Amino acid sequence: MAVLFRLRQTGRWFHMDWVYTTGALFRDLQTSRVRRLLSILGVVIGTAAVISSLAVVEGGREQLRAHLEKLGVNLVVLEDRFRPDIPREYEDQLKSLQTESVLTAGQGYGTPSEKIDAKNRMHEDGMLSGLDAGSAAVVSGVLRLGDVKHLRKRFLNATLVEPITMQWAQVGQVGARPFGARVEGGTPHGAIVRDLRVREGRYLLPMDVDRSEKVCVLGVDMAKRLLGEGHAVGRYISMLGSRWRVIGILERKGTMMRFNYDRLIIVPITAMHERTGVEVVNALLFQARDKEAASIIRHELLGEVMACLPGRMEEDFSVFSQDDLAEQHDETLRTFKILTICVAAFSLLVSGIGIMNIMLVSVRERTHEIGVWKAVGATDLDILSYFLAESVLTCLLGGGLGILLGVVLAADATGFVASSVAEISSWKPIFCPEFFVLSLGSTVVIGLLSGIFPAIVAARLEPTEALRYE
Amino acid sequence: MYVELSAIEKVYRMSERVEVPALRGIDLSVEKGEFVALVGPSGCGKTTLLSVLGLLTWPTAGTYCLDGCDTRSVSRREQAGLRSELIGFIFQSYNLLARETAWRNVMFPLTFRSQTRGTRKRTAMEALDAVGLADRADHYPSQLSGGEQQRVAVARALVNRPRLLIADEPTGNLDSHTGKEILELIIRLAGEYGTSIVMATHDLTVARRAGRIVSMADGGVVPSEANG
Ligand SMILES: Nc1ncnc2c1ncn2[C@@H]1O[C@H](COP(=O)(O)OP(=O)(O)OP(=O)(O)O)[C@@H](O)[C@H]1O
Ligand SMILES: [Mg+2]
Repeated sequence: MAVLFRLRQTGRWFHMDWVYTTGALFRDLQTSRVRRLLSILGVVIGTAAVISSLAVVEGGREQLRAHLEKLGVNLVVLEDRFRPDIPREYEDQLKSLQTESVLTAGQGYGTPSEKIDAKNRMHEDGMLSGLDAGSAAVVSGVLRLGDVKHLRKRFLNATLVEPITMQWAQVGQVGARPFGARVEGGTPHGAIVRDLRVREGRYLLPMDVDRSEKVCVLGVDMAKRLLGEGHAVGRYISMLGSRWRVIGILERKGTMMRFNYDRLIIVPITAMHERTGVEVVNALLFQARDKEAASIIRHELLGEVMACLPGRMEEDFSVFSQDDLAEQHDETLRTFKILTICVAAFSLLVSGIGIMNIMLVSVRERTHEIGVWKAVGATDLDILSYFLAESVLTCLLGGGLGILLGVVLAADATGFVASSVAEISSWKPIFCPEFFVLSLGSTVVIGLLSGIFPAIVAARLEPTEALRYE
Repeated sequence: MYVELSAIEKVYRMSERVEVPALRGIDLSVEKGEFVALVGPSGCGKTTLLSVLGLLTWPTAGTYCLDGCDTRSVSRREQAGLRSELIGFIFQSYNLLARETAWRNVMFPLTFRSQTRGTRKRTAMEALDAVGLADRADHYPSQLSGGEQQRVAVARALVNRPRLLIADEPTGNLDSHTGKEILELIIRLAGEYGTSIVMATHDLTVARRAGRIVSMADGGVVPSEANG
């Protein structure tokens, strides 16, 4: 009676000494090694998937942050995807000009256009104010330089509103084969909006635009391709039926807003219009005063443009800001993360079943021992916790191996994911301590879930039954 | 009265229809320090009775008072505690933990008691010394003979100084000489600690060493003339 009274007083749930038991536990973990390793394969894969995807996504976020900072601040872009029907006569003229330029690329066709067009003098309203279509055809229903002036007045919360015209052209250089390249007609401030920096020479100046100068600024890769490694500034390239003097080379920038600045050719927008014969603005770059202004512009811009261009469809235009870009990338990364976490959850689940199986085997193999344990005083809870610990440790082993594998995989996975996320070439995975805690935590949960049933089976065994089992 | 069984019944239910009655109304009491031998033909229920006494199984009916308390009111956890503190077991097939050394086998019951590790180890070594196997402390059961294994088992059963020693044919697997040695060892140590012994055996020479012989047949106790 006295003993029972004392037992009730102290009421220890665990009778086992864990220091002694841990030794037994680690020894038991070494039984049926091959089967155990096979059963944790899923845990290894699952944990590796979790770790690597989290690290890749985190790295991607970081990369994106850096990327957006490079893009320029509070940028809003309007793009007109509609390509107007160029009147047939101009089209023909364009073709012949381009063909001519290609054919005569090596023979010093044309002279450097140094003439000063009196029409294009600078005006007090700003550098585009004095511009008109010049010799270019007027195509209705597209944005024109006049509209830029209007929008500039309308959006006073934009510090800069810069037009861009894009044209695909054959580009050549003396003695080299011509090739297709994207040529941008731009303005001096276009560099500021997008934070383009000149590495060599200079960028466009207002007078280049005013005079429709046949000058160009090249991206690094384009410069190399056209003119080789040597000095490029001051040399001439040939396109759009004319010779263009290279005035500057851009710093390396990479791909931004879906095009590669390193392969770009930038010329004064007026010169572009003059050579193509069509005055059209394909895109507008807005630099908003601040983040708030950017969001206002982003929402009001389309309506304003539609008012300028009655009869055009909204679907032809796209307006996007840095936030949109960030969101779009986040979306891609999120999808990737969800996908891999689903894979991870699935493989963890499947391996949970495998671990439950190996634990049932373990309980069966040790049934007689459980009988002995109980005979000398082990409680049900002792047995339960012993087998739970065994299954959790088995899982944790898988988790540990999975983390190692995940760290290795993450490096490869970034390359793979990076190729599916446009504009960001590649990045380093970033590992936060939480990832390890999270993945090991989920491993522990799987261990508990898959171990609880076998552990209960073991704990509920009647001592005599267990002792009789051989 | 230290142990008191009254009208104990144990029925093994094999299925809905098949029930095997192993014990049919057993009345038995054991005094402090008494040595009781259980004899009877195979299948008469000796092992089952010992299991009930050792709280290794639960009777289907009847009351079992151990150390003055009704075991029906004792939870499973408390039963484990009572096994640990009051009862020692010796089995015919030794039942040592095959993957532990001799001294760790002896120490094992102590790991369920709150003691310091140093005390545990010392107590275990003393118990091993008492059965004359101090020099084999680091040997594994597979490296010991049957008699030596049973000595380790005796040390393990008595290391806690239990009040009740349950022995199920402890000499059944041994030759008569070794068996006698083991029996004398058990009697000597139990006498030292004042432990009651309930021992099942088929060997009448073993049974004669007991203070009292209880004969069983077909799940019941046969009233013996000798004990009135
Ligand atoms: N787990 C069990 N399930 C079903 N029947 C059982 C179980 N354990 C014992 N029995 C039956 O109970 C009866 C008593 O068995 P017990 O083992 O107690 O006999 P015993 O006297 O110890 O025999 P032995 O001298 O051979 O060891 C037997 O008929 C046996 O078949
Ligand atoms: Mg028996």
